[in-house]
Amino acid sequence: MKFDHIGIVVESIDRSRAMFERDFPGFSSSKIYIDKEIDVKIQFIEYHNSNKIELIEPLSASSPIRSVLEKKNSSNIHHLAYSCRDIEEACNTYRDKGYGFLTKFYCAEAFKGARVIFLLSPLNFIVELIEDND
Amino acid sequence: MEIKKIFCEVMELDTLPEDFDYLKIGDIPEWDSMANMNFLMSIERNLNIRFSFDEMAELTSINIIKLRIAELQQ
Repeated sequence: MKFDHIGIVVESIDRSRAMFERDFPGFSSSKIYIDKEIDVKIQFIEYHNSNKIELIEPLSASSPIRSVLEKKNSSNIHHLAYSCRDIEEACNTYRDKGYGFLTKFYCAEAFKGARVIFLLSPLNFIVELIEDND
Repeated sequence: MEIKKIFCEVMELDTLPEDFDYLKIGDIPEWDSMANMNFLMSIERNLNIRFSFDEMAELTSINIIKLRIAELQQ
């Protein structure tokens, strides 16, 4: 299990990346991906020490991520992502530990088609698991 | 505890919606995906059943949840 990134939901990837460039510079940007499963646009910004932030922009009002932006006075930090080799075993283990599962597996273009799944931890924060195929 | 009481407790509702048996996620503002997880996990604790990780995301209406509970209680 390896930490991969923090996901932040934003109104606009372009404006948010500009803010990071102004306030927290020193990163390189990935290409932009479209995740049709949850109807969002995604871009990673990665610092030299490999710390990554995923900027997530909902593309429509029906995106399940859109509600994050509609909650006033709450954080837009959306999830912590970890990669793991045996994702099915990890899912069973987390289920035993009381985690809920917000999605089923789906293949994410942003991770070279690897399977991902979103969980809700007992502490009420969201975790993304990414299958490590390398 | 029965499912209606669990639903009201998790969604913080004083009264049960009239069309409870036909409700699905998103039909009331309180029932979003996060609340749904807390609803399912409260059902597990109270009814002593367990949903598998790969079915939880599909348990999104009262009708489907009731059917699954009945299967697990057989």
